[in-house]
Amino acid sequence: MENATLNTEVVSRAALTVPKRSLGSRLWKERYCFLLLLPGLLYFIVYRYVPMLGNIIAFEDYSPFQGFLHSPWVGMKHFQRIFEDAEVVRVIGNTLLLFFLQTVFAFPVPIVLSLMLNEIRSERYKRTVQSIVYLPHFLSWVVVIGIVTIFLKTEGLANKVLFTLFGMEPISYLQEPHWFMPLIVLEGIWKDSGWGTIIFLAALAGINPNLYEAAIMDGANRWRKIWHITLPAIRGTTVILLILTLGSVLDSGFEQIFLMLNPFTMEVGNVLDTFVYYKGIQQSDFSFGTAVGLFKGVVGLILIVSANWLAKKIGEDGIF
Amino acid sequence: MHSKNWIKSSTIAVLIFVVIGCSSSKNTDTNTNTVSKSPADSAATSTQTASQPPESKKLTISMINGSWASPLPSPTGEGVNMINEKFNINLKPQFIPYDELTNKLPVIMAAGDLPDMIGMESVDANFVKWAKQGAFLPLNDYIDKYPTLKAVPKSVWDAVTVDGKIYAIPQYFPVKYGKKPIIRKDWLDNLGLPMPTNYEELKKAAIAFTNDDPDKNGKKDTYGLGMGKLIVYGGWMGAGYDNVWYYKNDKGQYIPGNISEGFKKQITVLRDLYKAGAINKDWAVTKVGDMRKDFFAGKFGIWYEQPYDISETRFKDLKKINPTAELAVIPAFAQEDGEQGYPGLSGYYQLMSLNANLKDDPDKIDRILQMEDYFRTFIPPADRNPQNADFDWMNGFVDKAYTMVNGIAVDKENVTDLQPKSYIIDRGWAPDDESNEPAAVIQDPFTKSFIQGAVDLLKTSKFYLNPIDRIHSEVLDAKVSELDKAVNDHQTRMIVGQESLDKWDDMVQEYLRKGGQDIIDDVNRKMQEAGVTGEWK
Amino acid sequence: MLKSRTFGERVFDTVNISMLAIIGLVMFFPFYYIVAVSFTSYEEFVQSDLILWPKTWVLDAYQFIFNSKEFIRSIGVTVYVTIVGTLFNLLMTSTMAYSLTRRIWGQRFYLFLVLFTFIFGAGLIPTYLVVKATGLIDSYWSLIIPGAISSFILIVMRQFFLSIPEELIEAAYIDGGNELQIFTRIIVPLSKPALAAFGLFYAVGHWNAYFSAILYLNDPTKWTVQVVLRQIVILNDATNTLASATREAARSAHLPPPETVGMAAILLATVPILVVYPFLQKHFAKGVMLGSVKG
Repeated sequence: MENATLNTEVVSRAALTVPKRSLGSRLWKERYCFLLLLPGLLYFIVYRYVPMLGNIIAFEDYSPFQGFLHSPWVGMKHFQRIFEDAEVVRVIGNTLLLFFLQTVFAFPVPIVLSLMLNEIRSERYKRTVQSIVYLPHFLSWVVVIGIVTIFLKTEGLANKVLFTLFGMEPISYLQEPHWFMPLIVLEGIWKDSGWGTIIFLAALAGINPNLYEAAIMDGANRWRKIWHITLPAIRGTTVILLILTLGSVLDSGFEQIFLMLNPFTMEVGNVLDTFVYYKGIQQSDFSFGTAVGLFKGVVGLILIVSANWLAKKIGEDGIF
Repeated sequence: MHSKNWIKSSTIAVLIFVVIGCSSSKNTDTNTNTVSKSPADSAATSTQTASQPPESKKLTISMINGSWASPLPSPTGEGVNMINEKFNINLKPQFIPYDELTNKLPVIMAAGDLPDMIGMESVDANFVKWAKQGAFLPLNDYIDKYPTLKAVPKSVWDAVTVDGKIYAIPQYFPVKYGKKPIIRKDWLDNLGLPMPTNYEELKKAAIAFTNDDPDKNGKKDTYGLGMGKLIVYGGWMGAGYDNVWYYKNDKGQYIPGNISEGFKKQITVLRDLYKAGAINKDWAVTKVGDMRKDFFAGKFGIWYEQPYDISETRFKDLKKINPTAELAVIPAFAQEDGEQGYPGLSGYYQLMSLNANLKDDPDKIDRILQMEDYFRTFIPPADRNPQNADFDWMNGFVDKAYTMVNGIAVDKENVTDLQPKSYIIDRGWAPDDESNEPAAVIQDPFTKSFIQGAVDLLKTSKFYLNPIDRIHSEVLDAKVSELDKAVNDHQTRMIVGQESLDKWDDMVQEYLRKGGQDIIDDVNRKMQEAGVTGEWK
Repeated sequence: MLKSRTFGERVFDTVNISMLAIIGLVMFFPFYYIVAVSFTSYEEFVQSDLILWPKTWVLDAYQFIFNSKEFIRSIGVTVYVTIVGTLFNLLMTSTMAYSLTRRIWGQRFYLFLVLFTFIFGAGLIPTYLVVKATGLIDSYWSLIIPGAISSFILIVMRQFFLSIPEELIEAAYIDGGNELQIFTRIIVPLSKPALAAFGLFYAVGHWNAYFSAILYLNDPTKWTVQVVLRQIVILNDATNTLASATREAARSAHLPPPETVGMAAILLATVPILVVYPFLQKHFAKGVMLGSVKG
């Protein structure tokens, strides 16, 4: 049944790509669409693309007093600054490892959580849990890590409980290098997976209930319904989100990591964002900051375009 | 070279084109050509009213400043009206939280909106850069005309001087009353220990505070010295053990404190104390604010406080929890070189620069400096009452914005907008630090006695003026935070025993190799050029 | 339905329900902690490591905040900006997202244009110059227009629109409807869950607006609640960086109010946006497409 819908969709979309006509008549036919497109397009040009021209300062020693035109041109100097330090290799390694861990462990959690919520029969219970799990998203990292510290410090509650129950020696979780990455990922899951369910729950709300009824008629059990109806319904969204995630492969969530880093975890935890912060972005060095942004963007763009190509290759919608 | 300029010019051209094109529909704002303006052109618009004869015509004066106050004063508050009337001006003030001012200043500068008066918290890399590029008005020719400007000592003028030109008016801050190590005097007395005079005695006291139940409550719930992450504050018992440019290397160059032998001694002591359990275990991940809280809850015995400009609340809390608590400043330890004393502060806090475009507008410059001079005039604590007309005016009039409690002026609630002093900094330039009588403005007896004790002790102490405060090195600005951080990381690991102190020299070498030597060279060159040395006062 | 539940189904439900309960508790705890601290007296807070249940419940922190006119006024401002801004966001985003589901001339190019802005941002200063040139400085629109469309939300919203069965749109075509009518009569009603979800994303963004308010609004009386909140809780952490000794000493004069006030402020500034969600939840109910699809 669901396959049937999908097929008609594909067919009708294909039917829309009509044979070539003159551009003028095509545009006239699509005039209402362009009417809908225009405000957004204008917005993107004025507020996104025009300011983007300012990224030219990545190649200058920009000073706001001298302006875009009169600041001295320095070419690739700021890009070289990123790579002049031998440490950058380890830093990029840390960044990629963290991205990998987050994608493997944190990305699926909102999906699983939404599926679990979707299986709850009592509307009230479901709504209550939903409203609670998204709470942590609203706390700033300063507050979250403040609370985490209270719990995990050497003399904190976690150690006290573990000692009383199992006689475990206290562990300085926040100062142990091998605890750093797991803590970052766990904190991220804790803070944002409830929030992340919102998109998936909205997608699940779009499922036609008739599909489930038909499946019950066919004698499908819970797992089969999840596998054949629920999961396919959120597949498109999941793929898009996954592709978009790749665009920010070198962004690691500066604030959280900055607050969690200390001299003991610096080796394993210093990521690109914190590394360039220590190198000079905090001195409002606009040119360097812009250069870093461009570098991250180029990497992100390459990954997204490749992933998009791959997605289309395997029959998904892709982004463009 | 040509092609680069071509790229740049065409980029800007597109930018201007699109911006103007889109803004034409918005006719409310006349300033559509801002982007093409150089800062010099557009600042002129704000100074149009200037060609009027002095005093006869109102001058419009715009100002931006940072503040830590909450709430920030409203640009249309009663205090502004009072200032406008008194100085026959039309003041347009704008306040930003200090931590965001550094973000907003470059932006309005790029937009050509730099006001007439530009406030900053301290001299930073941007100040020096912009001064060099000509954003600010040199004030050398004006300072002799105004008494409170004349009173500023050379060591402070040095701080706001770039290439021989003075680019800002510094606001007063005492040299002597920075953070000083303080100790629980009652704990020392309980254990029969003397006030420490060297690191051995300090160690002994700190360990006794940990093991010998100094508060006599029968529980082992105290420890010696409290410290927050980044080694704040450590065991800085004098200029020779602190992070100031004090020692010289074998080439006769001043070197930064954090790689000096004196600092090493201090780190060694901290390591020993940590090993003995006399420092909190989690210090390396603990915020300073949390440590302060613990000190005033009576959990440890050695901490840092200042005898000036403090809130009484915490002191009152300590007395509530520990009624017998007594606090005292630890006198600076004698150093190996025979000197003894704490580093002094830079002698100023906050500064006010004038827009370079005012140079053709002597009336406005004069009006601004008159106003500054008025607010900077020192009012002795004894005169801070309604009988002093200036004090009364600056504070928004008695019973309206403040009341007298036991002879001390206390602001009412929600009066920020009513007081002229909320808009222009009113810390008078005191003839000397003692004239501030910091204890005189305090109500709570416990706080008062602590401050008085500290002031008396510091009155006879020597202070070292850190030469780095008086010069500007772009090499230092560019590299120091990264290098300092690496050193701090090493020292943190040394204190907790993860790294051996034998590695100290490696750490210093790494610092020098990665750019530290360049900093030292540049800083010393600048010091020589400016004739600045580290001096005791 | 109920009678068809097998043993396996019941085990499934029990496990599912209990796991969600545990997750809920873990997620709820910090909020509980914040509530507890905000009602604790400062003396008690100072003396204990971890507050789980205040010995005495006091309202000092709340009194402190409500004493300030700033806070209440800024809540008003923020509610206004959030409502107007979110509606504007949804209008701009949904129209563009829908137009990009159609195979119009240059469709892939526009999509790439959008994606490109998701990856490459613009700097603070150029953005400010454009905001200024378009006359938005000191206007609440400066908090709304420059962020009118999130590239991320646009892309995901388009994906949602794509999942609406094409036959519905075709049927409307045949009935003589144009794209505008299709958008308002079919797409919008069928996308309520998506619009509610993305509206929430936008609303929270507006609610948390902080830096843009400081940057674009020169008058502090126009500032949003997060700015005011931050001034209240600004943690006395000048020493997060190695600040100069003078700065350190000078800042002590502006001690932030006690942490208990900070917690109360966080709570007061968060609750208004939290209560939005339960109201939106009804749009997440299953079966919005029922009827229209079958019809």
